[in-house]
Amino acid sequence: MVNSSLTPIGSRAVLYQAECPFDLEHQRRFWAMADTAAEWAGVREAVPGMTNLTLLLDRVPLELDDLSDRLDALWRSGVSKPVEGKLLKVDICYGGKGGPHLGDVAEMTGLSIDEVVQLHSAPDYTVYAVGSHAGYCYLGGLDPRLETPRRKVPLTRLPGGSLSLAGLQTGVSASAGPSGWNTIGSADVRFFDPFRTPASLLKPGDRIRFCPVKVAA
Amino acid sequence: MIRVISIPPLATVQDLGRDGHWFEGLGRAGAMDPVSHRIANILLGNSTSAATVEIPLTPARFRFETTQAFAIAGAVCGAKLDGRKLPRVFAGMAKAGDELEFGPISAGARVYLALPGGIDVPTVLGSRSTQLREAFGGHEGRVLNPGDLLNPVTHSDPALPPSGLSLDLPEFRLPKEGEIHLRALPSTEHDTFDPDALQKFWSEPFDVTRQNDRQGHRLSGPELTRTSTGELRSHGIVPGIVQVPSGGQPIIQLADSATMGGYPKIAAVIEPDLWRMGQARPGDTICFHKVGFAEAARATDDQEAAFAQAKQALANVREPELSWA
Amino acid sequence: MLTLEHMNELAGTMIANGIASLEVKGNDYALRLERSPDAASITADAPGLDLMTALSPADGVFHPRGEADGLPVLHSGAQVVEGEPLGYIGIGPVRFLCVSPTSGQVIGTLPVKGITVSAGDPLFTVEPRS
Repeated sequence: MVNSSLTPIGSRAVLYQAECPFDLEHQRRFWAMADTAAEWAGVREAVPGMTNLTLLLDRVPLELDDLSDRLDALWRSGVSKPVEGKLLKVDICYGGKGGPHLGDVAEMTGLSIDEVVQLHSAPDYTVYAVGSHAGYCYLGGLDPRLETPRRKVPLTRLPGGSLSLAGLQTGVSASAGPSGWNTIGSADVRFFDPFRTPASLLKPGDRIRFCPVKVAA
Repeated sequence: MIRVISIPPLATVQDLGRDGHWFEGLGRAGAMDPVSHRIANILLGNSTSAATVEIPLTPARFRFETTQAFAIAGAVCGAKLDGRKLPRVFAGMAKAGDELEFGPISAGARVYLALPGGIDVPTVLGSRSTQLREAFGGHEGRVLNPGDLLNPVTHSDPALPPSGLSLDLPEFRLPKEGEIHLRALPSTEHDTFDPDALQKFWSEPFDVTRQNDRQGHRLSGPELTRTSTGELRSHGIVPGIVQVPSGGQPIIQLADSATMGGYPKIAAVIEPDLWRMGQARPGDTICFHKVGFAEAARATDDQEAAFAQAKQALANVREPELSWA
Repeated sequence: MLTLEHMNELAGTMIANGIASLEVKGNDYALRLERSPDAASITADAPGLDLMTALSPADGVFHPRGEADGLPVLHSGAQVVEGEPLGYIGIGPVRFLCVSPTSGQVIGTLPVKGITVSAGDPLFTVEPRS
């Protein structure tokens, strides 16, 4: 028995969710499901979210029962995609103008600025999913000691390359946009380039290591 | 060739949007009102992939540098060619030196301007649409500015009667009195809302607020409360999704929607009705009507049939024996 | 097309209204009707108005302005400019524009919605602005 759901998020878009822990092991199963479902007739794109899967369809389906059964079967099969993708090392200037909330994060977590930088740059983060805006990577692997709430007043325009964190998530924005997260640094990387193939620099399963090149209060 | 004399902020070149790069986090962009965009193209005999200029807010002014055909469709905006009033939907010839003006909008929110073969901008990742956040596509990856020159893809004009053409299909009329009706499917968290909130969502009108752009519209109306709480894991979203953040007021994502989000989703507006949101403006009201997949499929087919009807009707009057030339 | 019958009709209208001369413009022709000096002398005190007529651009069904086109409804007496749409001839959902031949005032009765018309039928009379 699978505790799952397949629901519409558009007239030609559906979201598949299955009850599971939020960890890399289960995320790998959604990567594998996305690869398989992307080949199905009638599926335009299959994109993994954070332990869920979205399908864009060619046509409006008349019902979801058949698709739901096929996805459940795929989930039950336990097929997994144990990719160890490429490792991207990203130079980061922590703090300063490009990381205005570094001090706030230190205060909220009770850590020193150096400890925040050390904890944040220690792990290799895994790209769980790509989305939100073009080239943006949802990363797994943030140290729980760096968990912080979102900001009460979001920034209306944060430049591309901003390194931010909130909750148990962290990531680098790929283009300028609004953000409610705590911004602690900046990087000079083109995560998305429409004239490059593939346009997105990273894909699910790739990894990122943050390398502090400068720390300013 | 036309020159932009004056233009409101956020006017862009758009087609039907970018498909196939959603997995890279790239939203589809494209015309906010794909119906008016397509009608303007159909009037000139353009292909479905042709690009138009999307002009929100108005007023705007263009000058024709050459004698050529053009078409407009969308909002009611006091359009004038060389001082002569034009109907909301129009295709005709402009002489070199003629000015095309769009005055203040009195119904709807966006006007589409088409040229023969489409607006000539490069195709990037399969589309000519402007991707505003990522700053590529369309005209140099940006909004249009005064002084910009826009070229048609083809330099031969379609046959048009001297006084011009219009099209009137009841399906594609602007909503009366700003009352917008949207058909929607219940979405993922629909059943986690209070029964009272659901009853209100599907029966009471919501107001279009000033917080609206190509990314989405924030609505205001009855507070939509949920019986369960807790953060959702980030998941795919597409244009048409109606999310309800903790404030209880819904947001409809539109053409420049992000590809992933995390707010509870109460409903998903069906694609054939999304064009109406592209013409929604503050003061308009929105009513949601619950439908299932069968009706969504029928609505999609009906809309395509209406486009086919428009194309066929135009082809019929273009036949030589009915020629006006 | 403009037939001899139409011209007789127009001549009748001219006599009935004491009009000395009338100019009818089509897309590729202009027709000027003038009453003979003898006849004109009968109504010597009538102003020498050059009334102009907007003709149907196609065979089809007449649709008034101001229904779904975003333009104001047209009334007799309205001031219009040359080239302004006064109404439409519909063939299915396609609408041919019937535009004003001159700047001036729309006079007389307006065509009724839904009537079938032929190309060249006079639809609107416009008194040019002096």
